[in-house]
Amino acid sequence: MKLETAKSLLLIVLIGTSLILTFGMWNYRAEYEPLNNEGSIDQVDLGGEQKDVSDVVMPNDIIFKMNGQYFGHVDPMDKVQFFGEMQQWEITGIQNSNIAEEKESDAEVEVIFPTEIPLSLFGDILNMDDSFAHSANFYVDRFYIDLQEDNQLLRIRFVERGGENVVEGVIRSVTNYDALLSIFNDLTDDKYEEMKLLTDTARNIYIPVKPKTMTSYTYTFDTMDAVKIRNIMFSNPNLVSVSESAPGSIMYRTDNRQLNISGHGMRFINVAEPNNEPTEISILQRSLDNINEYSGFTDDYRLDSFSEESIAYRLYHFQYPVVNNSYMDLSTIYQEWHNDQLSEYNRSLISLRMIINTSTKKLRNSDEIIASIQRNENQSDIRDVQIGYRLTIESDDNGEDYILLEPNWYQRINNSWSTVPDQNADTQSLEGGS
Amino acid sequence: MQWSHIKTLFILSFLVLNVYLLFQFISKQQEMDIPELEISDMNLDDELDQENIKITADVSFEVPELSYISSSQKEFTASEISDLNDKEDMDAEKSVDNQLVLAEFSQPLEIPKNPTADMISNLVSPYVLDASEFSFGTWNHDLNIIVFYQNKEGHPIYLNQHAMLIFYVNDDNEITHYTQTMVGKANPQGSTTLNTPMTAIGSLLHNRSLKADEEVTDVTYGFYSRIEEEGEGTQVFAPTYKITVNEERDYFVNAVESFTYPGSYTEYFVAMFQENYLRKLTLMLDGEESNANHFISIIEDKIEPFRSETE
Repeated sequence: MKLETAKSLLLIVLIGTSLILTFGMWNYRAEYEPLNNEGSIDQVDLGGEQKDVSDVVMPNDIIFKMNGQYFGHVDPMDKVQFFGEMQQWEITGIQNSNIAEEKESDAEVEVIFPTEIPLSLFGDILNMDDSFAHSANFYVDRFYIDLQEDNQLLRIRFVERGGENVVEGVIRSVTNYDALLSIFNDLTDDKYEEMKLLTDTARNIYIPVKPKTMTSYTYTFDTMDAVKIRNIMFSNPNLVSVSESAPGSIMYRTDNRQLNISGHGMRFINVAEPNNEPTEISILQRSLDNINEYSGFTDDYRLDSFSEESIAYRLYHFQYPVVNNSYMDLSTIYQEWHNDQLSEYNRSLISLRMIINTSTKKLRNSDEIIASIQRNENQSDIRDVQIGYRLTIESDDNGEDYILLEPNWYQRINNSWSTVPDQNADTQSLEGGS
Repeated sequence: MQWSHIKTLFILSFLVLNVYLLFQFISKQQEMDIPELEISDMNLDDELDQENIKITADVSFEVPELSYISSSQKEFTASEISDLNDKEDMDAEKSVDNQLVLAEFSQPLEIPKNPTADMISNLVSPYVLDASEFSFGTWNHDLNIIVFYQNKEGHPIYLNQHAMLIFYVNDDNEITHYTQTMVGKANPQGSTTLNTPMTAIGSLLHNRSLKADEEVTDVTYGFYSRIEEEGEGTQVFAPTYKITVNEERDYFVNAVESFTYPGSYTEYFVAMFQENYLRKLTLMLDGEESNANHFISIIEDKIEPFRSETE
């Protein structure tokens, strides 16, 4: 029958087209040119970790205050772990508070950060159900948590230094309350040590009483590849002029950008006047996004200073800050942003690889440090005193470079760290070259 | 008969399936097609119209084939200076770092009335080293100096203190002194495609340097650098459009990346004198008999009214 043959044919055609359409859909890829085909480079990766705000904003000190005595963790790892627990605590009822009702609590924790940051950033660091949207915004470098025995809850307070504003919240958890209470009961444990308070300095500073013996480390290290760095900093590398301004110092330049790589560090400036519209993204987030883009946090870098236009991260080694203070500062990452454009970027290009040697070093005891601080004519400018590692690059007999990390006492004046002057070495000028 | 029924059923169901697949396919195609990048030039004309911006400059020229160039500072030799001193009525010296020539006319050059750029060029060229490499740039009436730019690859290097010839004009409209700096041989960097002049005008419009009811009166191109470091450093010059608005304001627009910079001439010259030339001149005072002292007072006088603005 003719109709039947026609129907069979139609059926075959229909099956065929449905097959073609199915395969077509599976395999369809839009054809488009890569956007910047010319001189484009693969995503550069410096091999670091992705970091967010809570990874880089970490406290230097957590102080437990009880009956006029001060305690801290002996092992800084315990401090980090405790802060990690604190970050889980659920904070509610954020509100402005009245500074007048200064009710001294018997038991209080003071958490001190290396730099002042806008209060709103704590929304990213701590666990809060509501943000600081309805409270005052100011810069703080510490917060306090005290035990409220009457109603078994914890109160968290952010106090503006020398200002009017106080913002507080509560942690309504019996578990958290009990956890903190048990720490206060255990402060005489070996896990904790007594601290001394310095008040004539720019901030309240706490210093451990017991003398400390620490380890010096010798490391092998890697230096990041200059070409990789060039490819990150210049969108079109084949327009960049290269010159060697001094042996081992490479200068990359265009009409508006300049990158100098020397002595294991880099300095970059960009003087272009950006056309982009300013956005509302905070400078910290912008800076983190930028560095994460090429996995630029190659070691444990933490926020060290913060302003409207600049951000500095400092290298930490086993929870202690590292100080270098050479012209190319090998212990920091520094960025300056203007109108949402990275206009200055200085950083260390080293990454620590392997410990090849250790030795122990006995640090000066607290009396000596306190005496030195009190005799310092700039005492009122000292913002912080910490044990830190001094980073130096040394060469061995074979000309092989390695990094030496030596513990010492450091004081911070404004944003620069220097060794606490040694009283015994007479009035020897400040060591450390800063 | 049954088989025939089944076939009809199959045909119907496949028909439905095909229609469905076709829909899916088309929607997927639309989804994955990246929207064509808007050709900004297309809308630019409308935008300019809307803002009532006129373009009286000639922008129809072909996009120039310029590459980035790099060049380092030229150091003048003693024989070049003595060549200058051999000329009549001229007294020339060079700075300690050999990068700056200063010359004094014992008989000031009178500038003719209503001068053109060519007239000035002809007037001064006999007295200048490598005069053919320089072309008239601007006459700054705030400071009363006439500025020539050095040319590279046939195009001027705009407003660069290391490639500049400056004539100092006194109140009687006479040229009494000049200073000269130069960059050396130009090395081309990698080449790239340049934006059209219209794109450059577009970026001025978008960052609001070009406002409603204004007029683009002139577009030329050359080289420009924002990083001017002294010493052994090499400067890199980018192909750049110089766009004049209302015959009074100049903008430099990078022809590759579209960064725009206002040509703040007076501000630039004052800063240049203070941070570079005057420092070099002061260093020359230590030497033997020199007319640097006289020179310093001339420059100081010129920049005096503008100092406070920059400091």
